[in-house]
Amino acid sequence: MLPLIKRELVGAGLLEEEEFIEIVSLAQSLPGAVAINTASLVGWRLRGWRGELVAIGGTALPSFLSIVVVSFFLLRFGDLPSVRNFFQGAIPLVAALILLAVWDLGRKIVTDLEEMFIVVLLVFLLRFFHLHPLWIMCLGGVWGVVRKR
Amino acid sequence: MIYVQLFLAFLRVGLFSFGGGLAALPLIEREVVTHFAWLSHREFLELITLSELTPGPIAINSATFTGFKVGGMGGAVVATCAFCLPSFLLVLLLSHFLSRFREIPWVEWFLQGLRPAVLALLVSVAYSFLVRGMNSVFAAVLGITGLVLFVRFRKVNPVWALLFAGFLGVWWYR
Repeated sequence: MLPLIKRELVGAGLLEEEEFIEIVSLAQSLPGAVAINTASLVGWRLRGWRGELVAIGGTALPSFLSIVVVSFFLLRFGDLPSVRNFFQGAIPLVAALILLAVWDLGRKIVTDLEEMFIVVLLVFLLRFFHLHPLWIMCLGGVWGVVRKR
Repeated sequence: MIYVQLFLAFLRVGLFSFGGGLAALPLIEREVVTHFAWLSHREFLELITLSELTPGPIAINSATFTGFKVGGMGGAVVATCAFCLPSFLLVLLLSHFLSRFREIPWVEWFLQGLRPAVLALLVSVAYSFLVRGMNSVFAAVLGITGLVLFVRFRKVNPVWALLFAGFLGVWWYR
């Protein structure tokens, strides 16, 4: 996705390459979807709050429209056996994609035993103590601060 | 009333989801499946599958889908806008010192500490999928084949692979 955004913005001469890199790294540290945050930051930088509105709208609209169309049909025909069976077939592959994402991210960020322990602990708290995901994030963040002090 | 609930639920998702689309899923599941019971577990898995097949961020897709299901077109608009609102406001409010806030050391440490938490959330999503999605030998075979395929050939387009597996499912379970 990011190469596409880069082509649209840097390629069209709207942003310098350096600005783009700064915006993307900022977009990743704000809450919400990275694409929406990028749109928001770029829109603001170029045209203030109006630019933000237009850029966010433009980014959200294609997924909004495609999901509205798809959910219209899914709510109508979702109980048909063949639709159920389609999902039965596709869901294991989504599981494979998510496992792959776990592997890719894990290889990048788990570099020692302490980090491994924190991840296992947080998974445990999330699955078996049903801790709210927000608490999981807070615990992770606080651990990050405490570790460095 | 349903609009207010949709608005607040997806405002929370937009405000508290760090670390990208997949990591937002446990939060969305909390709101949409556990708390409000707008979607069943099954529908939630179907929604994620649909999100992999359609363009755009997974959290936006969830907002639009859930909103549309429980509140029609108006619900879809409310939920989607509520999710985008924090992105809009945060940039607007913090714009004056946004580029400086990451230079504060403890902000950077906190953000680094979020990464193991994001990984834990992803593991939890994978766990849900394995428990609820891998419910037959055929599903396990598809999943393992898919994993090998994706690891071996990184360039495989997931959309085509998912569509193919879906039609295999239609044929196998008929």
